Amino acid sequence: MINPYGVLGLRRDAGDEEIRKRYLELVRTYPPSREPKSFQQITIAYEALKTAEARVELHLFGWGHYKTFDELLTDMETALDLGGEMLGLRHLVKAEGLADGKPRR
Amino acid sequence: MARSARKKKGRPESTERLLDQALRHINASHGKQALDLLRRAQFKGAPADRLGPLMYRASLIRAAELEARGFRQEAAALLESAKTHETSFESVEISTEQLLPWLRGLDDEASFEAYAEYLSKNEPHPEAEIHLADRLVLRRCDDELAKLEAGSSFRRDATTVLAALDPMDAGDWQSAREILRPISRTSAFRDWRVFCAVMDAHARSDWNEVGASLDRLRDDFPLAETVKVLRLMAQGSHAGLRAATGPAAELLGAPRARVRYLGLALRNAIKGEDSNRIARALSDFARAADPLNPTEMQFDLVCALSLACDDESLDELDELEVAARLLRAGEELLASNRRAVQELASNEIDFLQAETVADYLRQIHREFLDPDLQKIARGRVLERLAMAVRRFRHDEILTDEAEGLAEILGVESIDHLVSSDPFAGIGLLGTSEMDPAAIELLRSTVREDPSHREAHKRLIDLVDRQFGGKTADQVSAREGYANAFPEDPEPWIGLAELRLRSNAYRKAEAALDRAAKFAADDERILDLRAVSALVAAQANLRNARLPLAERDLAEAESRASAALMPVVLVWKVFLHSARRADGDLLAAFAEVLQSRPAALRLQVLALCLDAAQGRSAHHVTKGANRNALRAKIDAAVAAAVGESPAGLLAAVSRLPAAYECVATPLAVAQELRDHWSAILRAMPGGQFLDAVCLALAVDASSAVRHEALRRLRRTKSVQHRRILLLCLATARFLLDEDQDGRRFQSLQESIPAEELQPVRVAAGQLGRVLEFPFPTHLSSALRSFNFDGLDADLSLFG
Repeated sequence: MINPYGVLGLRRDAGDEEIRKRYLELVRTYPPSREPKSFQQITIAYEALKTAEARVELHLFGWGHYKTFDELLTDMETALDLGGEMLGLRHLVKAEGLADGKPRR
Repeated sequence: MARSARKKKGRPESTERLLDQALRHINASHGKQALDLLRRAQFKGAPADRLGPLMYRASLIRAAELEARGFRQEAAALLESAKTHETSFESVEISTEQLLPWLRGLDDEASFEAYAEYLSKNEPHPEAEIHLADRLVLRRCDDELAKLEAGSSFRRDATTVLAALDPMDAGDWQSAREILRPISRTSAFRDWRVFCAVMDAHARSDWNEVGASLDRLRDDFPLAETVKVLRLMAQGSHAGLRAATGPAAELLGAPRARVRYLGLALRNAIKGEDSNRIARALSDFARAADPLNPTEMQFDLVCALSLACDDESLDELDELEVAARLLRAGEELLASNRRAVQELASNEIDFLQAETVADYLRQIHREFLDPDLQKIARGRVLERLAMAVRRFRHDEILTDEAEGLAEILGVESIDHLVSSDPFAGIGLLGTSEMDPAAIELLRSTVREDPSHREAHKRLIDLVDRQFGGKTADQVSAREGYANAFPEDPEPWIGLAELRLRSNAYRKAEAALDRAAKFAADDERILDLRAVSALVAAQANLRNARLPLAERDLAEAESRASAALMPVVLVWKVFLHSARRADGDLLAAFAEVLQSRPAALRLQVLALCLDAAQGRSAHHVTKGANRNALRAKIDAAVAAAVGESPAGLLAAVSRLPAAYECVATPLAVAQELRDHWSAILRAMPGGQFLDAVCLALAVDASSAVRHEALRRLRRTKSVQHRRILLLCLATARFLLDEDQDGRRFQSLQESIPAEELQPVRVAAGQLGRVLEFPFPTHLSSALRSFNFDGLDADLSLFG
């Protein structure tokens, strides 16, 4: 289980409304047509936190299945890898404030 | 010094001298100083023809300086005022040294124009071309390219780079790298080719190549932050990565690399068994992995680490003990108890752990502040405890030792717990399939909380499994679920099945209509509609509404799957029989099934007989002659056995359990009881075991015994002998010739372990058929072959 709070960037005490709001925000940023992997990760994380029952279940048993330390590490990394699969020049140019990142053609 | 200052102060400033000084500052790209001097020259009345071009250049340089420092509005205002001095490149007479700062101060269009003018009189300027190349890539000003000469190497390379921009933007650095391969080492675009190589290596996490390629980039490459972060990542510098924040670092996955490095640091610290190091590493790792929830993450990590004990590097450490010391003192106990709770999900539980779990239950309010969440958590933990206990057959904890468990859980009694806390009760009783108390409890739970989906599902499950359960209870449980979740098709499908079993086809159709609203393409709905039409046809036929029955049967025939078709044909036979004046069932049968295969004819005949014997069809078989039917079946069996014994078996056993409401394979197989010897005798080796299973299930043990003995005498294959001996032993057990499992045991002991697999599969097939209602000691004897988890479709004789 990837740490869904890490994927959605939420505090542990986030409620239903906050979780849903954040989910919709991320889905707009990573739509399935352009970023299918990220979208899938976001959806899995949202399902794991959607209801109070699911959050309790995750809190109680979510960490129980790691068999090795490496497995745990890989999951932690994956949770932080949102959107990384499509890192393009326009993203970097925009991040460095050199241009708006949008092609002018 | 004082004398010199006085001398300097006293010297008069000529306009010529001021303009010369300003030009020197312009050439050194010192915009502010140049502008100051020029304003002083303007005040002293410097000639406009000399002042204008210098003022224009100084303003552009100053604007560029302001923009670089983030004062964009001020820069724009300065550029606007500089337009009053605007002049042509020619009139300014820029030297080769002045070209680069000059171009830097111009916008895209003007810079390309200026360079084109420069080229008309001079040789190409490498630095200026690099500057323009960066502009082209970063600002996509490819329209300005036309200003340069068509055959120039810059324009040729620019065309190649423009083709690579789309893959670069899309993050396909490998393709971009391929496209840029023709760019030479002397090209103005060479750094962009190298950058593609860097990013391609980054995407592949090839840090050696990232480092090597970065070394080939020029120092003032425009994506400075990106290059800095990549260099840190390639070097694996902890401190550097910790400092690497910001959008570029986030994009490049610096946090990810940080987690990897800090994770490795934590692993090394644990290996070293140094508590202080572990504390630091754990805290760093938690902050990197979940910056918003570092404390909770640290707590989770302790639990997760303690469970990751299969890791060779950790298995000799009591890492939980080591890590738990790092948490706040008050949480140590909670952490160790929560570990036991998490192990409930794995495969180990013992009574002692139940005590630890109970400790956790007492502290649950510390982890969940909300009382509702506390209740849910308590129920979930108890549920896992009950499941683990039952999975490992420690039922005594919940029955014989119920008092002890109540004491551990700190409740008056288990019954009291169940009645006072529905969630806990579901946890403890929800898996107890036949427990009326669990059903009552679930009913009260769904009454109080109709949105508890899990409780609805379990209630339906338990009511269905209850021995001698009432349809009314089953219907009510499903209706409760359907009313609480009207958009979920499942309860409606379940309700339709239930209605069909009690022949209430109108109600079934209504339920199917509701289900179809939310799952129109569900195959189960289509199948059930066929069954529904068939049930309607049966009702109309019983009430002599023949035209309606014919319509419904036509509908059922059009929708029926291959498995359901024989049952539809049976009722078609009945319809034809009812239409006949003499009501002759056999004649009707001939009309409907004349051209069908022998096996299907036999199956339909057997079903006819089954229906005619039962109450369902006695109104429509008034003229049927049971002996005539029997004779007809005998003839059909003989034909089918001769035609295709395997087809016969397929026809008999193909009815799925879902159509239990209209016919069952066992009902058909039962009708063939006088023919099993012939069927088994004709059955080829590949299907023999299937036939044996069916024959034993309908009590044809003597036929199986006879045929197994006959085959044993003829077979030379050791493997076949073993399976036949297993069939024989099973048949003897059922015929009371054997009273215990000794024959199974000796057979098992006679087979070498490496050759036991096919016999275990055969035992699995027999065991599954004979699980119920046959004696449990026969099931136990077959289960001694330990067939759970084996592939039941393994070919045995073929």
